[in-house]
Amino acid sequence: MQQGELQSILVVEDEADIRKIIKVSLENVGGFEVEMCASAHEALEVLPNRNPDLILLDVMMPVMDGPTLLKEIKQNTNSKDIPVIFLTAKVQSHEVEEYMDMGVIGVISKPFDPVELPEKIKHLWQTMSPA
Amino acid sequence: MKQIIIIHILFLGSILFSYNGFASEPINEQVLSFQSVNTTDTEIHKIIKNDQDKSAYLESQNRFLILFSLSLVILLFFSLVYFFRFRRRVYQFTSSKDDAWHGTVLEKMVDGVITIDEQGIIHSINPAGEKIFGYRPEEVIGKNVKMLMPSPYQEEHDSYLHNYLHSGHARIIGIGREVEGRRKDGSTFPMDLAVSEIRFKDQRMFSGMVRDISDRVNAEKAQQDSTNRLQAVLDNVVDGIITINSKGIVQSFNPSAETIFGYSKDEVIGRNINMLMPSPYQEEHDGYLESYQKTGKAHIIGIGREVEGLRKDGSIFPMDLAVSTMIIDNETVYSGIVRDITERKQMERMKNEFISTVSHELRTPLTSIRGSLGLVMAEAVGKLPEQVKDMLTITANNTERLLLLINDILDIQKIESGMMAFRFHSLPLKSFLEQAIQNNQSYADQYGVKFILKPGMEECRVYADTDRLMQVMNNLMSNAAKFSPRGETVELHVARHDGAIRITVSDHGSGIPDDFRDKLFEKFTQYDSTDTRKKGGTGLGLSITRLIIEKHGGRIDYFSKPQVGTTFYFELPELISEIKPGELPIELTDEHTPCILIVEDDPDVAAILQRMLAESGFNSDIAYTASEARRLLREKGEYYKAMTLDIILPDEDGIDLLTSLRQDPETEDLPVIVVSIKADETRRELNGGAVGIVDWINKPIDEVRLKHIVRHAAGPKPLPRILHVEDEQDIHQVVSKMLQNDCDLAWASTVSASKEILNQEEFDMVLLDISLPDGSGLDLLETIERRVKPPRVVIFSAQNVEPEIAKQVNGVLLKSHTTNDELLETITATIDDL
Repeated sequence: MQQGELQSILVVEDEADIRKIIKVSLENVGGFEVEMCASAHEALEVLPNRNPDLILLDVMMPVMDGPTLLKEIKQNTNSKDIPVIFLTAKVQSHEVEEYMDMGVIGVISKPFDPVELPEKIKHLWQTMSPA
Repeated sequence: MKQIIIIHILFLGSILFSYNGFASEPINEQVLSFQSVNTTDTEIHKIIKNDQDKSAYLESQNRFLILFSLSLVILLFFSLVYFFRFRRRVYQFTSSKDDAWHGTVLEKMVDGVITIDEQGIIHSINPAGEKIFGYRPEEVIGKNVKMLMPSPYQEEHDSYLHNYLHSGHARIIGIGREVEGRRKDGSTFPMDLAVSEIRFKDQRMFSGMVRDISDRVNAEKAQQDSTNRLQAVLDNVVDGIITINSKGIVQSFNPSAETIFGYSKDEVIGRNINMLMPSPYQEEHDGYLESYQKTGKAHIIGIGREVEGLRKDGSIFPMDLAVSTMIIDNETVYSGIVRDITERKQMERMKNEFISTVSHELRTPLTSIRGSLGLVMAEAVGKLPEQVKDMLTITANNTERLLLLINDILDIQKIESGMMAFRFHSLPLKSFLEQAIQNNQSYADQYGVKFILKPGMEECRVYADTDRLMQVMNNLMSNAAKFSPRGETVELHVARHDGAIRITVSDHGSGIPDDFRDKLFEKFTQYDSTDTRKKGGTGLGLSITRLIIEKHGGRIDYFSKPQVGTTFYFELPELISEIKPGELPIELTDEHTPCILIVEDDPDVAAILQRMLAESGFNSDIAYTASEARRLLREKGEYYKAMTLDIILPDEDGIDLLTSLRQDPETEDLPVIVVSIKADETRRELNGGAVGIVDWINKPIDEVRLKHIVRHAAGPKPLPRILHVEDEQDIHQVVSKMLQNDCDLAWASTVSASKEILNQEEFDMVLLDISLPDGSGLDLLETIERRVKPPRVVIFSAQNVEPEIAKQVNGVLLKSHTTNDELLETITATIDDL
């Protein structure tokens, strides 16, 4: 896939405070276009109408968790090529391996530093292997 | 005294002489003076007075009488003096020739001696007796002996004495017993009294020998008191106290033990202690006790640990058990102190859950605080005035500290409760340490400190959880950086030390004072609390570090020199691998090659095991997970001769896997060798081979031992063991030659020797002769039948056998009618299907 400039990011995060912090971080610090979703279902509704460059996905969410949403995204031909990054508190190396095996381009640990978050995302975007 | 008597005799002699006509001096005045003092001579005096006018002969006779009486008076006087002087030393009734001797003996006796007559009147008492009762002799002699007795003896004594004199019925006389005495001051005391009857000049007397036994009785009472106190302690102590003998039979069971286990002591005493243990301890305890007595190897004795107990109602509960050994009357007795820790466990769990919940709950909002603060501080939402920024810096720093603290508490709680999963892999140290330096250099830069990896043994590999070990490195390295002077270096180094790999982190800081050594690894400890603000940190880092290292089967310590620096080091078992990961082990293609199932999640370790087994002539399959192991065993369980098992598996605990395999008839006999970094630990936890484990091997793997154990566990079946009972050596030699390649043959030539060996060893078959020097071989049938796995029996004898007996055994051969071939054939047929 084309390795152009990272511009738009879809964020799926159930906690409102964290959502706000991410929004400020990615918009104000990173300068990205950001679409915020409070649940996996909301994301599934929004996705067909948007075509974000990247999805930042919380792993632990009620009703439908990150990995389940990821499967849905990968099964949909329209969204299957969108790179996904997991945001999670579970970052033991074997857990990270498991996530990577699911097809995400990277895992960012929670809690994260919102000042550094845009840089981390950019780094993963640039270093991901072409799909 | 003798002199006085002699003088007296001489004096008496001179008087007699004067009576025979010699002149005598007028001594009337003297006589008169004597007369006035001595009333016994009054009559004589009267006679003299009345006969004053009689003849001169009579007058001279009178004079003689006066003189004679005078001499008698003097004699009496000295006798009295003599008698009283003697009496002052020994008050004794008798006056036999042995008085003086008796006197000294009685005088010196420690026992009091009192003599009384038939009326109970005291005739004598010796000094010891005086001392015992506190009376002077004149106070008791002539009085009734009952004055020396308290009630009711006092009132009873007369009638008792009377009764004895008439009936001969004695309670004390000739026997000796413990009675009570009464002292002059009225106090009573226990005494031993031995009374014997003596005859003196036809008079019946009694001598009583008295010993004050207050001390002994007091001592006995003290002993009894102390026993009672101990018993009271035993009865009231909250801990259960149980004693067993060397066979495991319960000998005592205190009330708390009754409460804890729900059994009354009568239900337990005399029975095996294992009734109080759940499986598998129950089955293993006898063997464990036996092995302790043989080898002295203790799992519990002298240690004290947490185990499980089984109540009468079948419920299982956690308990603390401390066992100690005592030798009482040459017998080994084990005492176990048991404490039900159900409540404590619950409290611990609740406490841990509470801490865990609180910490999680605190962490979530704190994370948001930190995140939003970070953005504000980075001026992502607008420019900040300088003073606001200053204040927010304080907020941000303390938020950071609080988060670190909470994370550390959560870590400790997770490790201690066993909730933190450790994933061990073979870890190449070089790249690991390089990574560690990379991770920590930016932190060290703040302190102007540089990390250096000094050349050493960094090509080694250890068996470790990478993340956790990195946590250890982060802690040690950040500490070292924090406490180093600006511009210094911190050196990392790997060396081999006592067969382990030692990783050191050395700084050139001010060192750690010695008096801090004991506390350093404790929770919430910081070397210099005034330094804390300056240096930061939670005080939990080193305790977490130690916990992690301990979970790796390693140890951590340090040495420090003031103003020179501190070196922290930890040691881990080295992982020796001769093959590079990915290299294929030797392929064994022969389908008859026995196959071993390797259950091991680490591919490197599995590969090492595979190679080791291949060198020993075994094929192997690898299961990386418990579910994979189950699948392989289900599909070709028969095919595996043994299994190696890692306890830490990604999907299931190895011991749980094993427990379920043991319940499946297909796999219940599969020899299992545990190969794990936790081998020793788990073995201790399971109280020794709990689920039928062949052996335990720690990682790093001892290759020679592994090969030996696997060969032993999975090797060809051992030869059948046969006991040959035969008194004729020639016959035994023939049989021995015949069977030498097919059997492992033991030989016994008497009934008693056979019994002994049968009770000690397992045999597959007994070849039995009947006529033996000390009895009939048939007597052994009962011994054989009692074995857990009774050996088969073939009778080989010159005698014919009753059909009844022939039915009980597997074969009967008559010596005279059997060829060697027939014998061999029968034996082979008997043991063939083993």
